[in-house]
Amino acid sequence: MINCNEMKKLINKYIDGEIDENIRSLFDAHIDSCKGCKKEFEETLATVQMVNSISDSELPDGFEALLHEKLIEIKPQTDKQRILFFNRGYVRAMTGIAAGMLVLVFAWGIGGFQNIKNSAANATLVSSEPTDKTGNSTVNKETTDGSKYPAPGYSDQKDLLPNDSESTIRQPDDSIFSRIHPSIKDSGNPTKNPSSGTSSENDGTNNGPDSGVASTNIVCSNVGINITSNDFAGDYEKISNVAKGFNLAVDKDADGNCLTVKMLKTDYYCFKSEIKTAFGESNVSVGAIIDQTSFAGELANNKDYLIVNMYLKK
Amino acid sequence: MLIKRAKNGDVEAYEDLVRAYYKTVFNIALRMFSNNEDASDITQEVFIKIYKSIGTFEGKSSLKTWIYRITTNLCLDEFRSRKNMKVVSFDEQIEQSNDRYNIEFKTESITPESNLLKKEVKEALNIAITELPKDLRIALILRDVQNLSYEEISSFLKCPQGTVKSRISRARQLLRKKLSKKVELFDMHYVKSNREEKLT
Repeated sequence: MINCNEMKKLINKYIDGEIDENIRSLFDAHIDSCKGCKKEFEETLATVQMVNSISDSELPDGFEALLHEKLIEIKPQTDKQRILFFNRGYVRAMTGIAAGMLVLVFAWGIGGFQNIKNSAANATLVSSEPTDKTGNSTVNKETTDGSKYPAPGYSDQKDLLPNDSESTIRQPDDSIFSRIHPSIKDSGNPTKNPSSGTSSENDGTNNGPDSGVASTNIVCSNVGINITSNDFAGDYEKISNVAKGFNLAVDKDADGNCLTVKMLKTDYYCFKSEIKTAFGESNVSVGAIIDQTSFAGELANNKDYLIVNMYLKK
Repeated sequence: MLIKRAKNGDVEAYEDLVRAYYKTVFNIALRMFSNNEDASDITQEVFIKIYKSIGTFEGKSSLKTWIYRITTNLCLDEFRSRKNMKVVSFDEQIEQSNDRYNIEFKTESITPESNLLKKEVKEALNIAITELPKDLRIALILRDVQNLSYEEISSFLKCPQGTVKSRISRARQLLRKKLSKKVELFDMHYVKSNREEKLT
């Protein structure tokens, strides 16, 4: 015999056909003798049958045409992302090989084929400066497809310093942000706190304090977004999911309340829209886009990029 | 191969690859949001998102699983972000405009003598579904509307089968309680006439 509590647990299994024969006969016997369980069972079954009976609705008119239009519209952006994604992997692989070769040279030097002083000098060079023979950078040239976008993932904070355009020191880096972002934070950029005086949204026009400076000095544009958050960890996950949709990585600062994403400017509008959708329009306050001009160097070519700093605030 | 071309950004190949899922994705979103326009927007968003990230699809799970997982995630995210979304009280819903609720039944599964096709029943059922907590709702939609297996739902929602079963059980009971308050849905004649067929 089974009691009423056990019956309640079995109802769904019974309806789903996941009950074995022995239990089923006990179930049937109970149903025939207990009005309450019988009623609950039959109502649950009727409910499931009703839900089962809901038929699929047809797609709205023009659905496919609209989707096609949108896909065609975003195709150039996704093509660029694919190229960047490819180049990032390619440059990383090549850098890995170059680094390996330098390590071999270094080991050779230690082995006594060169004098100790030269070895020590090389060691210093190798540890921080993967350069070619002429002392020029081995990375961060134009991408292999000839596009104007620099290979992402390679930079050094020294690139960001004024009058350092001749610097030849490069270091492979997984995230360009980990280097750019602290500099921006220290530069007194008004977008550090977009709620203070930059609450009106600027959709790409350059109205920042650095307007008018020669564009060749522009390192990278950036924008701040304030997001009301009651759950930093959950919202970090949410932002990461949005970024994943654009094949972008999110960097988090030590406090965990400033998240940074670097993207092509052409992606920003979609990205911003998805962030608003994810958090609700009323919880998102977008600052103006500001061009950073404090720095010179090869990263000046990054003017097609945008650094988006998202500040989670309670 | 379609997937390879789609990964290279070929829009037509991508559309050929995913077209078969448009309707199901739309209907999942429709049951989640009870609104054609929202469901259409979410469905568009799902397939744009998939197009953007199809380059990262490694085939570890099936395309179907991937698409449904993105669909459920997007629906749940959208749901979370809609803090101001109007929630219709079950006690006031019957009087509301019918335009928003577009539930349809498979007529072949309804006996002519049953009252299940009545307009208020459709509305009550749809509203009762939209009143379910989102996690229970998505599980119920996948299981009892889309007729997917527990195993599939478990992989879409990335949670154990036991959790899925528990959610569906709770969803059914909540739905039953909501429906039993308002309308005489539980036509015993209808249930009996279908019981044998359902359980065999």
